[in-house]
Amino acid sequence: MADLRDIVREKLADNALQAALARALGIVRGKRTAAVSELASFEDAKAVAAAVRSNAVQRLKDYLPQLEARLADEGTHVLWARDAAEACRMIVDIARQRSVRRCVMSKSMVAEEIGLEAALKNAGTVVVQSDLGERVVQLAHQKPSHITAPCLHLSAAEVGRILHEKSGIELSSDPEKLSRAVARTLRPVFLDAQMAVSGVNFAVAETGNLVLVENEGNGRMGYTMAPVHVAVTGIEKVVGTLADAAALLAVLPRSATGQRATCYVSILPPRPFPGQERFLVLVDNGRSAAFGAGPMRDVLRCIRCGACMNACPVYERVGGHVYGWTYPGPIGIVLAPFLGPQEVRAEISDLCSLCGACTEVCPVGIPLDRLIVLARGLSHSCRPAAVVKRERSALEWFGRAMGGRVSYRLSHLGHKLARAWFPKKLARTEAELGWSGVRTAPGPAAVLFRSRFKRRAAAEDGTADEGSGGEV
Amino acid sequence: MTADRGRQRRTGEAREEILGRLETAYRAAGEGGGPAGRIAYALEPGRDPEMLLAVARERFESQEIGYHILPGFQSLVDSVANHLYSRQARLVALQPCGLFDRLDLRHGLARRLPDLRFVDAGSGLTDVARADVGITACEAVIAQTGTIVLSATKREELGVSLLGGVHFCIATVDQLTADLDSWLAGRPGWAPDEATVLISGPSRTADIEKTVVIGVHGPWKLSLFLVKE
Amino acid sequence: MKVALFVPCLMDRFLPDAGMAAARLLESAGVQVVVDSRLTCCGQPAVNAGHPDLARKMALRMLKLAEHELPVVVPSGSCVAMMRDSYGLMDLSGQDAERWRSLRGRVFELAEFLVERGLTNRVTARCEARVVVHHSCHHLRHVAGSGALAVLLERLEGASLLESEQARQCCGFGGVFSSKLPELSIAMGRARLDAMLKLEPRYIALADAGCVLQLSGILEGEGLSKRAQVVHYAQLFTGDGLKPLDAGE
Ligand code: SF4
Repeated sequence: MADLRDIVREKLADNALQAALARALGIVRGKRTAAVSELASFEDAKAVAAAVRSNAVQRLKDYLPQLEARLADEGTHVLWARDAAEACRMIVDIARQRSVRRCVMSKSMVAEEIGLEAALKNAGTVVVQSDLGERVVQLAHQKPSHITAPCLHLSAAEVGRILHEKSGIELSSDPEKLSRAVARTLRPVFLDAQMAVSGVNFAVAETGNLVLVENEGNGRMGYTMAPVHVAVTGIEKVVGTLADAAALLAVLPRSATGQRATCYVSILPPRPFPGQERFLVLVDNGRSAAFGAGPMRDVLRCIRCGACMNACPVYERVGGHVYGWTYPGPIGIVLAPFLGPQEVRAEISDLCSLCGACTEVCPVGIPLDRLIVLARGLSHSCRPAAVVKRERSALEWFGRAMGGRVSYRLSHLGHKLARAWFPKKLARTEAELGWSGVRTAPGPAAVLFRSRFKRRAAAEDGTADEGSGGEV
Repeated sequence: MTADRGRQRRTGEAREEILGRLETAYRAAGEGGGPAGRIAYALEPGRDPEMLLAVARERFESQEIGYHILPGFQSLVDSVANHLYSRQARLVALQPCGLFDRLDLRHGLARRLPDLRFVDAGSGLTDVARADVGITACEAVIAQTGTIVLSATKREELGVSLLGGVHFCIATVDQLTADLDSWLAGRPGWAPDEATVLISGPSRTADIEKTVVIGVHGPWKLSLFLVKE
Repeated sequence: MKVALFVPCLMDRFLPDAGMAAARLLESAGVQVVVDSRLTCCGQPAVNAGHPDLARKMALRMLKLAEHELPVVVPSGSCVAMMRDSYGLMDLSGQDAERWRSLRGRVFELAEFLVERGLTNRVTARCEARVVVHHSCHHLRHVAGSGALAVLLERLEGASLLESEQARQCCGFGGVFSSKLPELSIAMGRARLDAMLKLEPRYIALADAGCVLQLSGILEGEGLSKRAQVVHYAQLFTGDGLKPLDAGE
């Protein structure tokens, strides 16, 4: 990964990106607020949804076999994959054995996470993304920048140019024209595909239902038309009952797109449709490690609504690509230590000012900002030892300076003297810390608060150590 | 076949390993979690039919669902025929269902619109996909979210509400229910071969600049015919 | 009533006026204030950088020195959040855990304390100025919500209190964040300032020392310090360090 600070700088200077982010996030934040206000209390709803998810995560070891049994009894094949490579191998096998030439894929973050598109392509299968945003990103040879809005980083004009160049669609910057035109090009693909790959939003342990949430209808098209349906999902996506799924459906679309309900929620039966084969691929890929990681277990509650990135002031400035992997934003930071590629684990947790806006909106009550602090702790082992050492010794120095009355005063005096005697050297240090130029570093107070307070007390009472102003 | 067995062996190993890891971590941390409850809404229509209808109408309007409230089944057939006519529908796919048989909907429509053609029952998906309008009944209508609940056991049936540009759905006012919870609560058991689709508007996307565009892969028009009977 | 006022390191060293204002605001509400000059820093920087082990010593020191019965009042939401919640990351046990339990129950943010103890009606102050209030994140989300500050600010006569549409968004300080990704940190602060300056305030009031330093640093760096002054909200009540309207003109 190139220097994170450089990538960030580049994004900050990208005016088109800044405009796209400002516009999209402005809209989606407003819609979320309106949709959530139709709940009697968001905090109460959050508590319910959090309980549903944390119970489910806690009972994974029981729910997963229950789900498997329910599905297997009715003829859905359940496959387990320890990691991305294993999951891809299994799905490639399915495609090979059925001589699948063409596969339609509806939006699945897990498919993205495991690199399924590339794996199928390498095996000679044509993969067509059918979600509009995913299709745009696929044609542009880019990666999605958001988990529910893959091409959020692009303006309509840019999308129009990409579609014109790669897909021969008439040049336009009208979202309506463009969206319809893409849908038209995909119709024949659905009719002809031999395999559909989808994600799963919730898998219901008790009944074996798979719940798929979407707006465009491409997911429905996929599982309705293709003779083989492969649903791929993380092992954490299980819930106990349909009532549990219903509770989550009350908060998911409101948090994600600010809708009361998405246009389509498919509750698939455990038995495949007549004339169709169905597979459910349960992917671990680091999730069981997160399960065993103490308070970080809460990351498995996530229902991938994207509200945390929509609310995030860092995401708002830099967009999703800066995070360097499938899951951007706050949730991406806390998943990275377990699911993320090695190269992002070192720096991704720097992309946070710990403001807590994410935690405020997360519908399943994940304490994201607190977990980001823990993720920072986990990042040290992935960073160059020298860098960590430097950071630690600076903090140790700080600790010593703060560690006693005398050292505290001495360090303050040192700061003042440096300012008077070595202003250039001090300015260099300040610049290294990012406090110079357009952001001036604060100067040390001539007199510390504590001294002023003491002097005032002394002046009033004739003593420095008693009464109002004295020490405890 | 050997490949199949190979896959099964591998997935078996993976299964044991994944569950093993969960088991170990679980024992280390112990039981947790709390009781869930019900999610409440600012506006709760309860069971009052007037309230349910009022809330549902408000939702339909904001979700771009056309709706027609009809006094009885007699006017239903007329109304559906009129709408088909004004949409210049030539080919219609009807979901096979008891209600339509009882209403003799197909013949009723054919009598009123002699040029109208129907996708034959038992046709494949490609034929269903040629229809201009798909007409379905439904299981329930959820007021809180403006949602139509459909169910089907075959892909061809599912296609009726998906593949045409226009979807007409027929429901009765007594099918209105407050929210998804209340519908689930009133539904004992679940047939293992029955798919349920909750539809809350014509297909849409907001992928490009968050601009809402109605009509993507699914229908661009959804109309609900609500019969008060 | 007597409280131990803890003015945290950043405020003590860079914003002593804000510290004085906190003390005098408490006194104006009839509270006797004592300051323990052995207390320096709660350990927040190391925790937020992901090195809780390095903050442990500071936390233990804090817990030991604050082992008295007095309420501890802090004019900084992030330090309160640190002491209330993040000390939980330090694997405290025995006596230390006991001390933490005790401190947790009696550490308050300034406005939170005045409101919870019902002392705000004793406060009377005037400040004839346009004031934009910006919510410091920890104060808003982990400590007191927006309620306590609003109740307290009601006691400020003569001020027109304004909020920008970005009043609840992070100013971009974030401790180590401001040094690791300075351009990003500044861009965030700049956006908030732009929104606030549109309202033509005399003062921009915040609830945490870091946020004050961030926004005043940017104002100064961009040569805009004459447009408005960034202060801690306590200063509005006591006038400590407030520059008059026509300063420098
Ligand atoms: S962490 Fe919470 S807010 Fe973020 S995507 Fe997951 S569920 Fe949504």
